[in-house]
Amino acid sequence: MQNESIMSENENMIYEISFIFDNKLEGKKAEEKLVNLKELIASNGGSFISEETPYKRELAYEMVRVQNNKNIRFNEGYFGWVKFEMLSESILVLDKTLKLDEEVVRYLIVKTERGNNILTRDQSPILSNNFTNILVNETVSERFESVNIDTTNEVISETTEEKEFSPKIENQNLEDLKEKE
Amino acid sequence: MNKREDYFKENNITVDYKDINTLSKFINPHGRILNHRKTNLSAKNQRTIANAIKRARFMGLLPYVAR
Repeated sequence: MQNESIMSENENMIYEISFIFDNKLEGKKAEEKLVNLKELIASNGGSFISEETPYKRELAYEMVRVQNNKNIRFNEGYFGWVKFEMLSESILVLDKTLKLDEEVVRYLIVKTERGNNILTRDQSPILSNNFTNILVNETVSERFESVNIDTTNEVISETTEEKEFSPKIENQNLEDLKEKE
Repeated sequence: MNKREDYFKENNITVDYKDINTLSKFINPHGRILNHRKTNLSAKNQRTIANAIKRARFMGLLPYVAR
């Protein structure tokens, strides 16, 4: 009775799949695999929201995947993600196909919301270049207007004395050691 | 005492497990999640970043144990 009411709800929900592909796939093959995935999603009735093309990155730890009945270890992989909207029943089909695919090292399916605000370099006051330029230009120029190169050179030559480098210490140590023996 | 506000509320951003630049502010050098007294987050956001860090660890973006 209760199970029927829960299973009958079949709504459009927003999902996000992130994955790691095998590092042996070279540049274009990883993108082709993404296109295959997108065709699968479209055939099951999904509409896309956003995505990122897979790029090669180093993994934080070693991962193992069974390929051709052997355990193969991965330290690098192509990481990418797709965000889309789909009916809740057909997401299980995607889950099964990704599980059986041997070139997908790991994947994660997540339910999310549509909008997303992430802090980019332009928005953050510290990382953006505008903030640093304002500070540097004002203070540095004020300080160095009153200083001349000629006067600084005179001051330096007057205060310092030139010394010759003489390795006196080495001879003393050798004599001391001989006496002790 | 704690005059600093919630980091996510101040900058008006959402929590995302792929955004490791912001998530790495809430872990210690060994890779462990910091507690709420150090992060100054609200209870709800503390739970969501804990979940996001665990997802990032599963996908290989953050380590489980470092050094």
